[in-house]
Amino acid sequence: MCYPDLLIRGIPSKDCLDPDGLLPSTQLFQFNKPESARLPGYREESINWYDDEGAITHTFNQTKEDGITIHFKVGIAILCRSELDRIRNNPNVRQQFGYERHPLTGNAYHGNMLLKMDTPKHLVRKIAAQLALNVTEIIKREDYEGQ
Amino acid sequence: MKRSFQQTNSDNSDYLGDVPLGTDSTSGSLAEGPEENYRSLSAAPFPTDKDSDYFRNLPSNLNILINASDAIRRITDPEKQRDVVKFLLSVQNILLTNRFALDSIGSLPPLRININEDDSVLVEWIFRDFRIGFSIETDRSQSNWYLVSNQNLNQVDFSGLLSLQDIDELLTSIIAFVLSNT
Repeated sequence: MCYPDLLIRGIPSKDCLDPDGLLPSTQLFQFNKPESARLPGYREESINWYDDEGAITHTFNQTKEDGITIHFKVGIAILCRSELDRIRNNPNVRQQFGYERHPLTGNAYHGNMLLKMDTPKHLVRKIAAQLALNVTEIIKREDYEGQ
Repeated sequence: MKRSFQQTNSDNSDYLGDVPLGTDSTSGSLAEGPEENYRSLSAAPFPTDKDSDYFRNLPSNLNILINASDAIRRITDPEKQRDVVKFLLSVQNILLTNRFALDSIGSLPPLRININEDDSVLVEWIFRDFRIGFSIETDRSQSNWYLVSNQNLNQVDFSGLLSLQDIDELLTSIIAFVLSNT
C-alpha cells in the first residue's frame, strides 16, 4: 500500500485547540471510539491521507451524516506520517498502533489510525499526546475560507 | 531511591498496585484495604462550596491553576472531582515549594483541564516542545501521566500509572524537567 508523507486530521471543536488556537490539545486524538466491527480488536481514528491538494479541500467540505452540518468547524491539523511510524516502532508500544488506507464512498482520501483495544490507558494517552505535539501545521477554517 | 524519568521510561508502571488513586497521602498511614482508603478520602475536608475557589492565588507567573476552579465545577462525578482537586492541590504545593527556582524562567502556561468524552479528566500542561499530562480515569487504577517531547528535546516519552500516594515525587521530577527545558 502506498502512503503519502502527510495526513490530515479534522478539528471538530475549539476544545481541540489551545485558547490561542495555535497548539492542538491531546483531545484531538482521544481514541475512544468503540471496537471496529470491520477490524475486531482495534479502534479507529479517522484521517484523510494528503495525496494531493484536494485532500485539504475535501476535509474542509466534509459534512456529518445529515449531509449539511460541516464536520470540522474549526479547521484541520496536518501531521507527518513519519511521526506515526516513529510511534509505531517504539518498543513500548509493541506494534499496538498502526494506520491504514480505507477509502469510503465519496472520500477516496480516507484512512484510519488504528489502536489495539487492549492498549493500556497510559499508552493511549501518551500516543495521543505525541500525535498532538507533532502536528506540523494547523489551518483554521477562517483562514482557509479567507484565502 | 529517588525516582528519575530514566527509571520510569517503560510501559510498566510506577503505580503502586495496592494503593488506589485517592489514598490520602498526608495521613501518614494507610487504612487496611482499598475500601477503607476510599472512605478515608471521602471524609477528607475538601472544599464543597460550589461558589468558593479551591486554590490560593499564586504569583502571576506561577498561576497555572488560573482556570482550575471553573474546570472543576464542570466535573459532575463527585469522586472524580475530589481526585482532581486533590491532585491540583499537590501541584500547587509543589509550585510553591519550587517558586524561587521557577521565578527564573518567567511565566508558565496555565494547566488545561478537559473532560474527555469517556468522562476521564485530562489535566495537560502544554509547552511548545513538550507536553505533560495527567489523566484521571473513571477506573482510578487506570489513571495515568505522560511526558512527551518533540525532536527539539530528543523526543523523550515517559508514561506511567498515577498514584496520589507518591505524586509529590513525580511532580518534583516534572518540575525539574520544566526548569531544565523551558
